[in-house]
Amino acid sequence: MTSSSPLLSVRDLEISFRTGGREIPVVRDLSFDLSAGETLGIVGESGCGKSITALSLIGLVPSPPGRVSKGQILLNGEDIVTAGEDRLTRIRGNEISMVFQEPMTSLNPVYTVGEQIAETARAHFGSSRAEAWDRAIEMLKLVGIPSPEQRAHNYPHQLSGGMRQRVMIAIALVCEPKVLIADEPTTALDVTVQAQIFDLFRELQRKIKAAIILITHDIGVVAQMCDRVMVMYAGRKIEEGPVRSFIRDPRHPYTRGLISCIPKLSRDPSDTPEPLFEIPGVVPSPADLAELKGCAFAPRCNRAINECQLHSPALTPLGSDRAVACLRQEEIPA
Amino acid sequence: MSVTDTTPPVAATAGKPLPKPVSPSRQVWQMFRQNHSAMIGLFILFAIIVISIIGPSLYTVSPRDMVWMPLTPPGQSEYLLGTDYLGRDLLAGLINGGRVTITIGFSAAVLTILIGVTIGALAGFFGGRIDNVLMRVTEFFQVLPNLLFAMVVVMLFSPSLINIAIAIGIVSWTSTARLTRAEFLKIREMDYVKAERSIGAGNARLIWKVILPNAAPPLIVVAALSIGSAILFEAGLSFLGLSDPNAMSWGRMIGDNRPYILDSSWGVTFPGIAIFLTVLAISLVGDGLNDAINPKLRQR
Amino acid sequence: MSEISALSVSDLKVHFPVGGGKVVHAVDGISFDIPAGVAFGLVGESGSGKTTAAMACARLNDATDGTIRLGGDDITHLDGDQMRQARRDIQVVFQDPYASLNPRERAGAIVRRPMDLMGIGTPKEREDRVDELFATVGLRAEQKALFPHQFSGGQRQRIGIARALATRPKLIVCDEPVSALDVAIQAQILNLLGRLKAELGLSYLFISHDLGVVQHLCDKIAVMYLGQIVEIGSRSAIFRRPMHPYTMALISAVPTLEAGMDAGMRLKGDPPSPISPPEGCRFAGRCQFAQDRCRQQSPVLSGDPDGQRVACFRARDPEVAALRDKLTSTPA
Repeated sequence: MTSSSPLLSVRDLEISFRTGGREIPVVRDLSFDLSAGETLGIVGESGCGKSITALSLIGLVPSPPGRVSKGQILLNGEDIVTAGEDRLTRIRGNEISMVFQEPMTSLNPVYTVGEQIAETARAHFGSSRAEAWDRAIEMLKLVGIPSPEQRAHNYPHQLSGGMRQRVMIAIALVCEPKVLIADEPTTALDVTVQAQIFDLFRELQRKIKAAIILITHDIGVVAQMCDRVMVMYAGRKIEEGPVRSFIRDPRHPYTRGLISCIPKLSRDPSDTPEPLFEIPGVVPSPADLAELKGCAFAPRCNRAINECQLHSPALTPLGSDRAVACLRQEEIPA
Repeated sequence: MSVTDTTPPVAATAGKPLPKPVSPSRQVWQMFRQNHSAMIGLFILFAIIVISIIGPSLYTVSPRDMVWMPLTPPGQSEYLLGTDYLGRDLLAGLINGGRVTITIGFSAAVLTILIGVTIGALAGFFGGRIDNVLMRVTEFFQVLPNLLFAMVVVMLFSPSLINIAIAIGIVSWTSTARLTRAEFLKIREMDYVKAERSIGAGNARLIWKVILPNAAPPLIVVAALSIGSAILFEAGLSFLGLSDPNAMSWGRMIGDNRPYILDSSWGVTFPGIAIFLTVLAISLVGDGLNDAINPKLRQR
Repeated sequence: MSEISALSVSDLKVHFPVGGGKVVHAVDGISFDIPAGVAFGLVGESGSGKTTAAMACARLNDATDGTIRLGGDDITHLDGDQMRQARRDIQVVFQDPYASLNPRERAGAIVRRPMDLMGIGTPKEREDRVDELFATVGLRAEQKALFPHQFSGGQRQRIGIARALATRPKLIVCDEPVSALDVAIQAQILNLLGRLKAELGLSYLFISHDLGVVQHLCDKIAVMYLGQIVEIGSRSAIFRRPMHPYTMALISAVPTLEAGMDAGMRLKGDPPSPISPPEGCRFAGRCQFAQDRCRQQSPVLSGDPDGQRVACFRARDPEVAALRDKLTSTPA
């Protein structure tokens, strides 16, 4: 949230997929900025386009059938969309790294974890084997793996889920990237381990000043980890703002729904809980969306009026640091 | 104790017309239809089968009768494809031989699948000791030299069509058994199998009605391809002289004409082309099925 | 306990051999009662044995030891037709709605199948019952002809619930029924389960790792760690006054919207292997309050037999109580 020029700047991004002879956009009109040292949360249900957006930031949209069909992704002013594969390989790891949901399938089972970290270090720094190995051990220590000298000789299957995710984070951070993208990094882990991983993220961010993009479906995680939040629905950004105002005063009916439909942990639970708030129906498919003229959320929205079916609302600023895409946001009481 | 109240989660979709039911098999067929080479294969196969079935009653020359000078080249007599070393009509041989060849191929494949699927299903479903015993048996059959073993079987009994089909079936089921076992091992852990148990399904239902239909797609591909290999196997046996003396098959035509190959290449060429086309068509269909089935498996 | 429980489990053990003479002690002597009409939550992390325990109760795993009573009848060793009939009263809803429906059957057939297999009613009655069930779970009767891949995840879970309701069971085992679903869909399914419980008087054995979900739906809760129950009690007892340090750590680790119930407790490391569980209290290795005694002797569940019980030597010590107060008092 610094006023200086952002580290990463996404402008009018559109990502499309070709299916059955038609090209269907799955992410549309997406713009956002990320500053150094900031944590941005991207929230939404499956199919909202949050994971594919993350992949586009490191030039990994599966192509074919997908491609970035419009817009720019500027990293320090350099456009990633038009960068060549050689350049992308340099950017990945050095400047942007990614941590995926499933640590088992993202690690190579035939190499020890130490070798995998060292290999990444060698590829990027051109350091010697011995230096790279020392660096690997240092990284394992940094991510909080006990007795790293021994653990470096372990194969991925010999580690627990939490340890593997730490190794993934070590690989992602070994080249000290400026941006770390974490796509549901703790969804496969237990809550007590999740808490450890998030502590680690906070500490690392303090140490190496990286910006983090945290993609999650868990609003509790966003509340604990992020400075700013962006809510996506059906490929579009529908609300954005600082995390506190997002939770205390969500403006978009979908955001409100998302926040009120999760069962909240209470220290004084009632013996007869009220039913949860329900958002009816399901997310429309990209193919359905192509035929929809109005707001994509209108069919599920309890505040929708006729106007909502007619045209898609533009993202409008709200105060200095928020924006909402809803025709009725001013009429809806806080 | 029924519940009358229905909250409106359906409201959002209530206005929309329902999609048509699309069964998984139908999806496979839709994918298959878009595959040109597979459709060509299917067409060739269909044509060969039709010719084999109705050909003999349209073209009534007997494949056994000596009708003309031996070793007449194609196009030099009223017998279009020429004659063999005994002066028998090659075209009649092709038309009549197709029936025998395809029948042997088909029945050997059925036997392959029957033995392979039964053994693989039992081994995969029950696991443990049963699996151990059945897999050792499978390995035993796998290490036998196929052609030699089939020859012994055919020579011990008489070289009748049935015995040849049985011999081919007995030596070729092992890979089907392994594949079936692997599929069963995978599918028996699926939640829908557990769900069937939880509603009281017994082992017989689980094996034949629940797991087998879900394991079927890759097995169908293997079954199709094994018809092709059985046809080739039969040709190989005939080439070595092990064919039913009472039945004309393409393989036997090749075997019979082999000694005269330098004087009359057509005597082995035409049945060779017939076998090649049939096996090619079967392979194209098999590959098409494989492609049509797999994207569905990938997206579950 | 004058009334007959819907499900009563005593000293249940489930051990699996894993080769090399080693044995996984997945469930190691747990006991609990589920009264009629009560939703009983079994919470714990992966490897705690909660799912294995639930599957053993539904007789989908074999119990190594102990007894399982369903409505007063011992079903631990039933088989064949007797077990099939007993299954009328205990049904299961599975975690992954994409994996728990046979892809080759139509939705209507899937829901009708339990009645077919158990020989309930005439074909006409079964068909009517399927229509009724579709309405109950919020699906349209015309959707009976569709195949599972034509439904969304939430709708598939509704089909799974309809199948579980078909035989009018008294108890439903729910194995993480919402964890594979999006949050908005989770709320729909949780509300459906809550409504069915109230209207049909169902009991649930509800397995979950999500404390928020368990607090919302379950009347009684047991916390499992490495094959054993470490704490058991009513919803209000567990959350107002968690006694076991592990329960406190679990609650503390849940990410919440506002500054929530976070006493800053962080467990170190991962749970030990269930192949050779440690001597003494199994949680001692990760417990900040552990003393020598904890590493030598195994604590047993103690407390009010019908109320809150905890298996911890130090649950009432001042240090633990101080942290508990921090966890359960409202922040300033």
